[in-house]
Amino acid sequence: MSPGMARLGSILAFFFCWQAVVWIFAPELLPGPIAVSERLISQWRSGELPGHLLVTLARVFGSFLIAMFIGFLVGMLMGGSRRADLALDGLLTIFLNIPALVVIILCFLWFGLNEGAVVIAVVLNKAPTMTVIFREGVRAVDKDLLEVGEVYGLSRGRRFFALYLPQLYPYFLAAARSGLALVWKIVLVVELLGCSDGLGFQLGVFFQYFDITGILSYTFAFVLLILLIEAVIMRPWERAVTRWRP
Amino acid sequence: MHLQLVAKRFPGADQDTLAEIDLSLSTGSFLALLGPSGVGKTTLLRILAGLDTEYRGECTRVSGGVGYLFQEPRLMPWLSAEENVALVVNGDRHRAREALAAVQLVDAIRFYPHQLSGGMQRRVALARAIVSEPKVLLLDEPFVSLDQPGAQQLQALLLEYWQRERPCILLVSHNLLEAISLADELLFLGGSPASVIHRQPLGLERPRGVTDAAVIAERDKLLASYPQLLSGGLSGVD
Repeated sequence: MSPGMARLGSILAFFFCWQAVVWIFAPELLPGPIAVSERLISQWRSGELPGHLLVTLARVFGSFLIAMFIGFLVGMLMGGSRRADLALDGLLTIFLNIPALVVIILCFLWFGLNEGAVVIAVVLNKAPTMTVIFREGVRAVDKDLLEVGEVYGLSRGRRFFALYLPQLYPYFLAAARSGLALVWKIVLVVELLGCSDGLGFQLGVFFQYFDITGILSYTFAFVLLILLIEAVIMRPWERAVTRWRP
Repeated sequence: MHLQLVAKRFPGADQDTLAEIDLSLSTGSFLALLGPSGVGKTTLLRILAGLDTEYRGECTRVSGGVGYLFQEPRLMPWLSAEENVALVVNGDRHRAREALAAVQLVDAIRFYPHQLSGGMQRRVALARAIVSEPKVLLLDEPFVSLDQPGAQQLQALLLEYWQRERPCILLVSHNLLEAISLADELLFLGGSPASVIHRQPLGLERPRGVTDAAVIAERDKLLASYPQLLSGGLSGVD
């Protein structure tokens, strides 16, 4: 059995069991996958779902990239300099442990219900864990390999891009993996609390109307998108980065 | 290339590691640097390579840079053999392939370091050291942790390159026989702080190997005159 078949098989089995439960017990609060799929299609056709999805996607990628960039810079600073590490470690611990909800509420109160507040809230939640990952990565950089560049007279820029960064690629991958998963979740909460568009907002609307089929259809859309990102971006990227490994 | 070292002290140490070393590396010479471990052989090599600049003294460098063979191969694990060599010549794959051919690795250019044996990794490192045809080649115990055939092959390739291009080679070694079989002159490092305690020019014929009677006789003569030479002392009489 190919890996793709194995992946698909477990998912199909899950949907089948779910539909079977719905057919046998006809529970009031659990629509079956067929009903959810129909709703998904109609939502997609009406243009409502793609609109919310795009808005959320933009927020996710925007804040993800900013969080990654900040995490990389601070992580490089803390991993590279012991003094910076000592100075910032306490702050890092604080930011790692402030509940996401607190940061979100405060951002809305301070900056108002706007895109800026959304991005700041997500970045503040995510950048600290990215920092931790990149700090580890920088600490693990093999200085012996950097010396090779020095002894052969490679320019500073070339040493950075050809010898230093490649050693961090696995950490970029780890940060992206864990980062995207968490950023999605935070963005949805942010949208639920203070936005008038996006998946989170629409889920809130469904919640108020007790529309479980609606909630599940949006979850479907969301899961499909994640699978797509995994297949189109993450796995090819991972293959490229780990190609040389034993 | 000329080094006039006044003193080298590591931060936090209460005495100098190296002191009063005057070293000239001229074209075509093959020097071997010997001494007990920890005496500062690698430190001296790093100063010559420009990796260590925290010392008192002066070092005039040659243009064209140096080639350096570290104790470990130090290849980038994410680059193929060819890319590893091309790295130091601005990505010139053509020259990289020529250098790899010179160390008999034409068939392995696409392989990643982990796919190569220890001996092959060293040869890639040698190719990287010679690809830019440096005037000075610094070798830091490049034959340790290699099996006998691997070490012999690397030595043969090294000598071939030396005879063709006539660079100056400075070989750090702890193996007296190996040093006598390769070099034209031996430098013994010893004392505290360490300096060159003895220079021994060799007038042996080439080619020669570690099993040649003349090489073994030279070693025995040297050790008979200076029994403590390798442990960093010069207590013997001649």
